[in-house]
Amino acid sequence: MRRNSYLIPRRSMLRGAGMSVALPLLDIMSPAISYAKPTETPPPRLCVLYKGCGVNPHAWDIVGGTETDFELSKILQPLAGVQDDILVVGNLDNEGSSSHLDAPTTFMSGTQRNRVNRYSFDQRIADQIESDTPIKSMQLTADNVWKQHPWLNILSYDKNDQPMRGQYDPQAVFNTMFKDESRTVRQKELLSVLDGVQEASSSLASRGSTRDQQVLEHYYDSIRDVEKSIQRARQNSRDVQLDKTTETFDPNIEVGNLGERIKAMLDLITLAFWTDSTRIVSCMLANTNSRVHYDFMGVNAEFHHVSHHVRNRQVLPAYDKINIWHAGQLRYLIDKMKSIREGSGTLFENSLIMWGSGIKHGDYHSLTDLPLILTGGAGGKLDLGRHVRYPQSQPYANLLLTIMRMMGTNAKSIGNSTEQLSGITEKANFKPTNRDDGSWRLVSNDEKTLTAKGLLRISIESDNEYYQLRFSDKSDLEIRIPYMNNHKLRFDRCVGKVVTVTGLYKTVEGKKTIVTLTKAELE
Amino acid sequence: MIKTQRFHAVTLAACVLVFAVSSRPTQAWDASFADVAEVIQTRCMSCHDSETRAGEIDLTPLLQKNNSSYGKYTKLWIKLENKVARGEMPPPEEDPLKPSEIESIKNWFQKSFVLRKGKPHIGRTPLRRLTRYEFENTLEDVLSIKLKIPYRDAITDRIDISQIESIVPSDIPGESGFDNDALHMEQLKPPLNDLANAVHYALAEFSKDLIARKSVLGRADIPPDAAAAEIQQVISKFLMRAYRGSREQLDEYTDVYYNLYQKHVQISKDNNASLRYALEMILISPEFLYRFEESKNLDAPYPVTGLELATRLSYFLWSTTPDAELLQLGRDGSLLQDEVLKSQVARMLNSPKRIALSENFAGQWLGFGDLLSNREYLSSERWNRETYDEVLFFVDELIKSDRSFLELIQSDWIYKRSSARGYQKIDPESVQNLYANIFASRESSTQDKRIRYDPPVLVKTQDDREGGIITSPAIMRLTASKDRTSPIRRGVWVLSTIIGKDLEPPPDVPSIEEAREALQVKENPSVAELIKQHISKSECIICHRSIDPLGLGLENFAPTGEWRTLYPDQTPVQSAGVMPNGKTFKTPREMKLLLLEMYQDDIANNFVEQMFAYALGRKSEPFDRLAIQRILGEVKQDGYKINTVIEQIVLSKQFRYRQDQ
Repeated sequence: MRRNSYLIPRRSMLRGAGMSVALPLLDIMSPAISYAKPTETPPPRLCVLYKGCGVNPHAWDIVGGTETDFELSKILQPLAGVQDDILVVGNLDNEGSSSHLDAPTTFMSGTQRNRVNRYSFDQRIADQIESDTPIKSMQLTADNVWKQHPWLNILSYDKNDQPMRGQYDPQAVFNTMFKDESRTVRQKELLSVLDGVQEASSSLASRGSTRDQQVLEHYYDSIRDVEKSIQRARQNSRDVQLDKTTETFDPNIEVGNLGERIKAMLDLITLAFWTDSTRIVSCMLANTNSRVHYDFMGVNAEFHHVSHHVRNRQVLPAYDKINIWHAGQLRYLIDKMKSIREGSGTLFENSLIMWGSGIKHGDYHSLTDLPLILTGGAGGKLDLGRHVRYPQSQPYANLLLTIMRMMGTNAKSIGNSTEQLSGITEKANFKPTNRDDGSWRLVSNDEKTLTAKGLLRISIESDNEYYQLRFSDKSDLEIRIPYMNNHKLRFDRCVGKVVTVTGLYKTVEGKKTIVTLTKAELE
Repeated sequence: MIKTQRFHAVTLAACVLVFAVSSRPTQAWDASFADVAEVIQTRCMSCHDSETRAGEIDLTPLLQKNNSSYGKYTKLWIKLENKVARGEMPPPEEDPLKPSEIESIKNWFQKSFVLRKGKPHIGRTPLRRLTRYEFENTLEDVLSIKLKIPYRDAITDRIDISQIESIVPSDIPGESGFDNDALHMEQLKPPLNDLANAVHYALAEFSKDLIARKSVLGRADIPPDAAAAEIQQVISKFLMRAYRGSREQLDEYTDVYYNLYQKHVQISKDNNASLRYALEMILISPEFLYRFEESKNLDAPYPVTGLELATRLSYFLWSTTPDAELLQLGRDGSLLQDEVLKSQVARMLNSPKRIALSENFAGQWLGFGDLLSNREYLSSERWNRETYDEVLFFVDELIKSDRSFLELIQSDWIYKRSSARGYQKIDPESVQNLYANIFASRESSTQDKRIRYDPPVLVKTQDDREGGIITSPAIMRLTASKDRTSPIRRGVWVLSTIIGKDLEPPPDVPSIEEAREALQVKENPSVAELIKQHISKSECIICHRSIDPLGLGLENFAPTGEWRTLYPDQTPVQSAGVMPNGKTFKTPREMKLLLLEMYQDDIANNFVEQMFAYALGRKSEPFDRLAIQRILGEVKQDGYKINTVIEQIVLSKQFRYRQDQ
């Protein structure tokens, strides 16, 4: 029943001409926006895009090269034309739980879902910068709504640690952005209704248990939220000239599959920033347990199923293909934003886009070395066209802190952050790592166990995956360990690094192979 | 009979405890805690100390007396007691606990978690707020209008949601698994902006509806020259209607809302618009959105009032506001009598409004509501509605004919899509009536076969595949992905949803999902292959021994539920299997019968707990055990009749009493 593609009948606009043309939202809206705020310094905007289910690290990681001269990895290929516009960040570690439900929360606040202080970084920014946009911040979800586990799709949490659910319906998002303007009558009425309710219910204080009174506080909080947001919308004089058509124009946005929904959401984000409707957006592109079937882009499988690729090797091509497709969506957004002039530059240059996943390895659910891309100029603050890999792993929360500061807050910390990251707003100039100092060799061994040091590499064959420890003499020690052993030690994260391993070994045809690892220490 | 005896034994134990506690309170208490701490120290700590933390479980805090009653470590205690009582801990390779050791743990648990100060209690009664589903139903009844998507007999190409559903977001389920979980809702802000817009929309519909206005307001319009008293009376009547019969502070409320109306009229100069404004306030006021009960601020259970009970009953069985008869019996207090209460339950289960139980309770418990709300399951409107209705009507048939809920597992009748051939229909007229009664607002019919939708029909099963709901296309689809079946996903679904096993993922694997997917078998596994694969992983075998045969036994059902004997790659499906008790099965029917043989008590217990949680708006706690045991005893004696479960829950103290701490 794929009857709708993400196209909007242009009937209402072209009716006079007797035509009916279907166009994407952004294209159809563009003529309606005759000019945008021509200020000298356009405001900074933040867009957080979460793509769950991790990656196949060996298709994600950028190998070799320098900070500014590097080759994009397999998954990043769609960004080839805009390599100078992205910053790929590596070796940031998060902590806490990496379960499906927790991953988005830890990604947004460095704090687990069931813990206090999960107040997400986008909301901390929104609360602090107090911009005068009609909408304080927007939460979107493109992934399907999972009634039993709505947590899966929740990215943002407000200052009271309350979940802020994403809007799933692009039409509703559109209406919030453009239709509320013409609803001033209703807003005035709503304010009066809420005033009345508060007056009428003040006598309620005498009834109910003490606990009931506490619960009721949430009710009044909610009233205050509505009042505040109406006041914002009414006070704001958005300096964007909207064509009269937007008031009467009902685009009837229909989306079918996830691909169309994501495209609609990205268009809406661009529109929201362009028209200065809001400056803070978070969007769930795919959650970490996404059961969405990707047949719309040619993969006959569920994203989450193929993300568990270690114990089921044949899904790997599909897994990579989906992640490549997602990188292509980021490319779409970059291109759209770059095409919109703003001030002396483009919308892209004034926005900060963060794209990433709450877990790294799709199967091991590791929280180390998260896959992250920063893009958008952030008003000139972001130094783009680089691949920055920290020589020592840094707390991921430091990146959140850095972004919070870049967005104009005076935040001191979030989660387990320790300091702002260097190398984001300026060149990192880290020394190359993994220098062979001649010490990579078999350190010791007895009949059963051995200890060895070397550069860890991975060999992926169609039906199995094993590791090789490269020695200074260019020979390799094979490591073939069971899944759970690997998982417990989070061994996979050592790939590409110098590591000292200890484990049980077997000798096959005169060659030693480690079959159980007891220890793996990074240099 | 056995259950009843056990219940007496428990009561007796409770009495003994009361005695023990009252005679030498602190000493006996200390001695008993010393016993239990000794058992934990000597028998559990070698693996579950803060160093080893086997399975990520550290029992150290439980050795302290101040962590030994309700508080931070309640969940850990529940887990401990559960594992010990079921004999799952210590693990098989260790010596089992001595009976006296088991007793001391159970005793302590009974004293400090099941009872409080030696007495049974019901826990704090949370404040209930209307869920979106209840809100929509209630607005329909209070305003006497239709807001839901009418049940049509024509197929379009899309599944519509109602205006209210598109304005108000769905609720987030709490720990109970249901979205009416009050303990969860208590922590959230109600989405007032959306609720207000929804009320605004409903009132716009209301103002267009002359009959509704007449029946609700007693008049079609408020004339410009209406006297103050007349308007006050309209407001006062509406307040009682919206506030579920409550007359608490009615005069004060009437005054406030009348004054607000007055102020508004001065500006609007339109009596009807101003009245609508007053109604809008009433319908988003806390008194409407929350179900307040009069509190005595007591830490012991006390009965609720008749009106409060009417409201509780109505939201449990109908998910809406009580009707006139319930309000009357509530107001005069007769609803507080067992016999009246029982006859009201019977009356309510006879009403079409009982569909709320199937739609809202079963829809969430079994998850088939997703067929109409989650895009991932969308195939065509016809397919989705048919598969949804097959389960919906099945559950309703259990209630309508008061059948055993064990028929959910296996029955010799089912609801089947009307186009299916070769089935013997049962009582077709009654089915037609059911459909017409419950979904009274059908749109005009069409004879065009391509778009005509006929609801599923009640038929006799015709083979050894069908029967119950597990093998229904709905459940088969919900537990599969679009392109392939997953025996693990299906097995886990049966174990957790139907049998109520708390399947914890092995601690070293990130979550159950991975465990499930990790052991994703290839397309055409043989049972032997699968078992072999799993036996090699000792962490997994404990659960997978129960999961796998169930999932494999359902392999003949393709992702959308059709019967198949070959996989897409033409290899044969092997679905015969061995249950953990060693018995073998060859057909889905045999498997389901074995399921009943092995797990009947678990299934019954789970069903009662699910419905109990739904009825009370919170998950069941250790202090509910006595009540649940009593209900189970009655239900078992009564042949597992579904309406006995409902009636017994309504008769329980938990349902009829409240407690503030």
